[in-house]
Amino acid sequence: MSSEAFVLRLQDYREADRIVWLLSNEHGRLSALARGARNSRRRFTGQIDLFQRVRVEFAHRRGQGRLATLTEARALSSYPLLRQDPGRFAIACVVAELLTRIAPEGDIDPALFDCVGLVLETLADEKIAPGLGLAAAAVVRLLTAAGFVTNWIHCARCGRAVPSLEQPERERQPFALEHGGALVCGDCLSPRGTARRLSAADCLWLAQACRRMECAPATTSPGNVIGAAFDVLRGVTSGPLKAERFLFEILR
Amino acid sequence: MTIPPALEQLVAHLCRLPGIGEKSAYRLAFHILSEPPEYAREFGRCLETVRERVLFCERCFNLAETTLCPICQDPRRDQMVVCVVESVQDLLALERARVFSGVYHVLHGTLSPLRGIGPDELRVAPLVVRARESGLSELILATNVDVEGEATAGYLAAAIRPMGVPVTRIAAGLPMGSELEFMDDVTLSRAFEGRKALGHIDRR
Repeated sequence: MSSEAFVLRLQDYREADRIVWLLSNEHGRLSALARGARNSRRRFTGQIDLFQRVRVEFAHRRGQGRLATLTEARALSSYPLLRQDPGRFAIACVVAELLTRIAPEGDIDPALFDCVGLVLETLADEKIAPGLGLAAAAVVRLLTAAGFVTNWIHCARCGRAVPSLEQPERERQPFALEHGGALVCGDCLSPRGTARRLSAADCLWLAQACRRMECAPATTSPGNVIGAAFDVLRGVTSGPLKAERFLFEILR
Repeated sequence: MTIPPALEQLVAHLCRLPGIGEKSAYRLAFHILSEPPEYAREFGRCLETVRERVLFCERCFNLAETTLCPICQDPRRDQMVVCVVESVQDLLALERARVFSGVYHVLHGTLSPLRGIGPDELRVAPLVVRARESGLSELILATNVDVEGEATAGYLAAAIRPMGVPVTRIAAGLPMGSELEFMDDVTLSRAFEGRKALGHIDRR
């Protein structure tokens, strides 16, 4: 079998082998054993590395369960800035870990696959500075592409719209993101529940980032929007991402 | 089949070693049984001794039996040039090649956020202190040329350059004996970026 794929994770296995987690456009998320990947110069060296877009050939062998066997790999794009810039590397790690959690195993999702390509290209664009805002845009864009849609424009309970930025700031109704990832207005907010306060500017920024990550303008409160993006993520997966700690350490 | 508990226990311990499955563990255990008893005794003593005596060098985190490793103690090594490597195995590879006469700093890993490994889990802080306080003439980053190795090198360079220490990175590109047609795009592009002028050829 053959497919284009993104490399999400690598793990050394035995003396010279490697297990590769991939998001492919023709077979969904899969993991494969690359025999001799750590010492073979011909088949794999330089061809399989994190965040790369690759063309892979693989087979399912009897007795190996869900683990496929990788027979060939060829790098199509390698996004050099993701390995050279610690900030971009930190965001790419968040993207890769997020995909290992939300991308369904074996299910084809061309929209998500295309979105991953767009996100990685944006992260590797030297004209766009890496920051928590960019990380937030990547997270919400991927969650949306994977079908975990958050309405950042209307209250999830009463439907009230987030106020326009043209309205004077003191008149704007406060909004908040409840535990679980639902955006609610101040009137619908449960007094006992924990919630993240979001300004109208944050909500509108997040709504825009969901649609077009590459066009999302700089946000004034990157710490708050990345917090909101991770709040939504926690609503759909279990526990925080391991890569979050490094992201905050590098980009805070 | 009933397996003697002692054998079962040995197999369980061997299984904990990296890359050893149950089958391999049994093979190793039967090999130990087939050898004379002195072999097992000596083997056991070695395991105990290695754990008791071998520790990390206080300066470079190489393996040592005293506070400083033999390399850090060697007066012939240039203490002002430090080569940063990921592991003791990498250090041994460089020593085998006899290409470096300075001293080392072993990180014991690379940045790997996907596994929850950040700078705090590596020997980064002692390296920063060493760079700040020792007046190094060069810091060579010899981490692997994969994404995590490169990102680690980028992180260290950003942390140490402001201290005024010259930071260099080992070259990356075509391996010896390789053929261009079999090389991937990344390797080729790195090889081109790192090209250098050919020196004068001495025809004496």
